[in-house]
Amino acid sequence: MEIWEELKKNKESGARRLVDEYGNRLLGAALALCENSQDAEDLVFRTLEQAVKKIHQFNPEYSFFNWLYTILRNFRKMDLRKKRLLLPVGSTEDLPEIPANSFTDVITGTSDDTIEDGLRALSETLREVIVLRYYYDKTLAEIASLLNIPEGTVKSRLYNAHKSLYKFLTLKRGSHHE
Amino acid sequence: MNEKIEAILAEKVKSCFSTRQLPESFADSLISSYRRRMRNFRLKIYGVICILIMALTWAIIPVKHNEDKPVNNDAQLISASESKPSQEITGLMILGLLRDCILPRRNNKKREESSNGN
Repeated sequence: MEIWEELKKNKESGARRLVDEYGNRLLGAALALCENSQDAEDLVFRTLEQAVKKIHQFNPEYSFFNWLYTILRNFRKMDLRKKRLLLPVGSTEDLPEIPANSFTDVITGTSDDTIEDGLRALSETLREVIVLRYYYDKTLAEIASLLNIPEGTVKSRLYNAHKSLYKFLTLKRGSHHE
Repeated sequence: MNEKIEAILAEKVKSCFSTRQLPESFADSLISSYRRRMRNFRLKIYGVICILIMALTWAIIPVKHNEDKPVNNDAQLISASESKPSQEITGLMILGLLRDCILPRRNNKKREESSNGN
């Protein structure tokens, strides 16, 4: 039985299965989007609570995960609106192009913590594309449909994210060597 | 971006954001929150039903006025009360009276405003 069918039939067992199957997957995205783990857990909780409540609105023609992610994203937008924060795409025009093979060297020689700092230094719009592409292994077309933006925009955001991350890591390396 | 970088980035991003897990009690909290919400919803529904029943009862069941026969020996009073049937006052009548009390005032206000405007 599909999870949405179970949720419609029995909310309690469905909710338990929802947490088991999607809880930690959503937590990854929430951790990437939120400032701390407490906010991330709270965001996942509200997302799953809303999913249990509004399961009758789910259209089985679409992906269940995408539906959950859209709920999570809407809650995040609401939180940012409450805090009166905007989602800047981030100016990347002045960033240098990434030299061939240099990115691989930089990224392999950097610790996970530094990479996490680099990801956190990105604007939320760029970080979200990175998470969808590399954490959830979504294709560009899937990301475009999920975020409701053209595929070309996804490509440029991804490229800008790479450039920003590369700049952050090279600066960190430089300061570390000094 | 070549496949090698994509693979390295995927590995790094996954290791960055897969470090934490939801607490064991997460599912229980979700279920208890659902139960609490359903209980509140049911209470609200019961409250609305109770109010509706009370309002309907008050509107339908008549409150009899002048039900006891007069014991006064005054002939005029007796004849007056006998000629008129006992009046039944229902909630709907009271609502009508209230409406009559409120609506003319509104109309008067409008008239006053229009006369002031002129």
